[in-house]
Amino acid sequence: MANLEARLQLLEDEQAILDTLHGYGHGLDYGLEDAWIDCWTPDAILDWPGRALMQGHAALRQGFRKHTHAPAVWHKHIVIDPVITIDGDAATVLSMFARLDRYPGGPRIRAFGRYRDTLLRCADGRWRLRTRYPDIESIRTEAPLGAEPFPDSPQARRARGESA
Amino acid sequence: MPNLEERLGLLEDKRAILRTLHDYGHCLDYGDEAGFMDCWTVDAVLGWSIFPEPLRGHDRIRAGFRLHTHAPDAWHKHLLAEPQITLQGDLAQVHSMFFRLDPYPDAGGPEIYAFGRYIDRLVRCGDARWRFTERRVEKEAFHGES
Repeated sequence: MANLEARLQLLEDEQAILDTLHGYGHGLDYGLEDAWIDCWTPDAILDWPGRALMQGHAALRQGFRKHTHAPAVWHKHIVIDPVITIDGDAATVLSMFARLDRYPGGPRIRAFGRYRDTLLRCADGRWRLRTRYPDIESIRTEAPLGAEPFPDSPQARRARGESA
Repeated sequence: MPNLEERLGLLEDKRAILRTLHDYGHCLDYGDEAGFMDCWTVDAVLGWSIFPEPLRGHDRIRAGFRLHTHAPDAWHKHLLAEPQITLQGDLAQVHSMFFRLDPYPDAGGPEIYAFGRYIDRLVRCGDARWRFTERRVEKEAFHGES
């Protein structure tokens, strides 16, 4: 069995990884740009479905600024039941997600799916996302209050003058 | 007060139990049969409400798994929340909330299919993994009920 120090380190690493996973949702939902950017390694990749792949802080910052945030639009990116596997200074995480939005009549689930992540332990000790691939498995066709329809939805294609 | 070793062991046990609880949902949703079966002791009991009798032992649980839907044929999410873990040596009892999301494309988008409670018993096995000896699924509400 590993020594006490190593066992404690593993628990601390998992907690630190969870903090980064939670920082993603809080940062995106509440417009905390610098905190959100700090979740990523400088060369990180984020592949939001329906949008161009983002690589590096400049592209991530641009993507963040195009996304909606509170108080203009209220939504929740919720990460649930993460399965974390740590190998030294690298980690892979599979987790479920759901996004809640405002719709006429009340809150609804806009989408659910799975995040496939890799993270790295950085020189300052913080774990940061190296890659995030969100797999959207189900999405509501109607756009939420104040938000644009999902880029690949028939509504969005019609708005761009393309065939739905 | 327990010593440092015992306090750390308690946290590690809870973390390992959570891993088994999370593996259940991931494996069921994505069709990982081997991963799902590794969550259970060989004589475990699984009480799913769709079966009149609990599934007893690996063969019956495996048959139940194969009757269940999985991605990519069907997309759903078995989500677990707020587990209350009570440890007693190599045994554990867990009560947790669950809800399941399904797509409902004809109704415009995802909805909650059901919610309820898991009543679980787990045991620390010889390889140190915690496995279910029993899971009882209490479905309290479901989509389309009248």
